[in-house]
Amino acid sequence: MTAAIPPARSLAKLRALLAGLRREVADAKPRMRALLLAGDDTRGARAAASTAARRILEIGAELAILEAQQARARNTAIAADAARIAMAAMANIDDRLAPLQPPVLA
Amino acid sequence: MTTKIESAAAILAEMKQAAEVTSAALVEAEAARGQVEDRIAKLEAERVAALASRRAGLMNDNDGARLALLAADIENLNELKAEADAAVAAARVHVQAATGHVNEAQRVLNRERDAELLARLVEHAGKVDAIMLKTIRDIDEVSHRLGVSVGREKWCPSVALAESIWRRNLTRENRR
Repeated sequence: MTAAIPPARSLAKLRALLAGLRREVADAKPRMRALLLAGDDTRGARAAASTAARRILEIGAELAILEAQQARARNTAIAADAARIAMAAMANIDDRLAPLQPPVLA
Repeated sequence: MTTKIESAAAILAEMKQAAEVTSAALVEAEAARGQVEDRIAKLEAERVAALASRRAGLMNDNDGARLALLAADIENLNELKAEADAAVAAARVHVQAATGHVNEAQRVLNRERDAELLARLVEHAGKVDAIMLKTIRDIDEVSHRLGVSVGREKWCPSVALAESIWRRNLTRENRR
């Protein structure tokens, strides 16, 4: 049975989400530094950065699974299409040769 | 099924799949640009309506701030639109390239199919040659048994067939 191809849109959404979270984690360091220098509470920023880092791992794993599924489904679809195209080409040859067969002597 | 046809078909299927992906990307890029354009049109309409109200004498203290905000938003959206335009143009280039690859792969497959067809036709012609020769010899043999004189046996090839075979015979050296 052919595996369903995960929609490209959902993969794109996950990739965008992952990029956003990575940016968030990258921004967390300078933000915490600024908070520390200003003498403000860094607990909120720390928690947000930690949550984002955990989500990166979760979404990264989900994305990897979906991408693998997509690649497998795509390969299956390509193989099926290639077989269909090759069969059509051979059928075309057979169709051209069929009328050329000599008649059987009665 | 020949290996050459199989591999040409596999390449064509792969190119078709790649073309589908690029086409989907173009549709997505155009949709994203459409979204930005819709938003710009909406804000432009708001701006035009606010200016029309002021021209009609319906003044409001907040008009200045509102118009400035609309102008800023439109400017930002125009930047997004420029990016979206570039994304659409890039996607279009990919679609054109992918379409070219599909056409080329189709040409390769057609060439392989024709090469295979020709090989089989030539093989077939060899078999028909032998059958035809045997048939003519049999006609001659039976005719002679029936007392038909040489040169008067039944059946002649059609003029088209005779000429075609004769032309091939004259250019026999070219086919070596």
